[in-house]
Amino acid sequence: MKLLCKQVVKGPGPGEVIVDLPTSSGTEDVIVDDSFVTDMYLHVWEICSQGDKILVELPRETSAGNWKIWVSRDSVAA
Amino acid sequence: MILTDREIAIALETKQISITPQPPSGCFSPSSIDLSLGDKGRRWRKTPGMQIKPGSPGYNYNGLLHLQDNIDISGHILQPGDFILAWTKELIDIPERSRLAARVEGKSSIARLGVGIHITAPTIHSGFRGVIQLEMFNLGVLDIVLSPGMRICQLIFEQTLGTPEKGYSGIFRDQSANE
Repeated sequence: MKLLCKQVVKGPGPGEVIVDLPTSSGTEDVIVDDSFVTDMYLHVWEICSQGDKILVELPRETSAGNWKIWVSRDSVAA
Repeated sequence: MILTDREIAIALETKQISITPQPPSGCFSPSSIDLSLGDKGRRWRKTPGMQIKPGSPGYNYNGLLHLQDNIDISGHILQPGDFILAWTKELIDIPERSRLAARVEGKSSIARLGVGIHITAPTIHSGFRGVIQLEMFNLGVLDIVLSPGMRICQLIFEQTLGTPEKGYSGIFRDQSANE
């Protein structure tokens, strides 16, 4: 599963990018290896769903310390 | 359960884990494998009066990058009290299907000089892929000259009990959060 990113910029470390993610409670950013991002989509793992929201797990924890975030079903693709 | 050098070598051969470039055989110790220092680093710029609130809504790391300067590791002197971010030269890949996770730890050879390589965040989770960030500091009294390729840390692999939830991603897609 992949999540559409709001922004992808060069990260602090070699091969790293900082990705801004749309969550159901605002924007969070996460630093990941750039191999996890393709065409503005971040590779994520679906954990469960609730209505029009999906709980996804990220490759790493966000700056706020979250590994799992709720996102809109509209923002993910298979 | 911690992997020995033999089990680490087998895990590398069978692609359960990958380390690129793969460290030479001399980098194996009885229950870990040494990694080396990359050639790039970052240093926080002292900014008097600047406060950050990591726990506040909207906090993001991207907004702090302008407070960092790039440094070239080659010949960089880590002075007493210094703190820098650096990265391993090696790219690590630990697929969750491997049922392995790891911890990055320092080496006694540089620890005895007062140099630390992480700050309470040694866990390399199952499913990790990337270079490993090192939070380097010098608590000693001597200037420490860094060089790319120097052995800087060791990776200790441990077996996980089972596969992380994301390894089953999609299998329970019809299950709600309340179930």
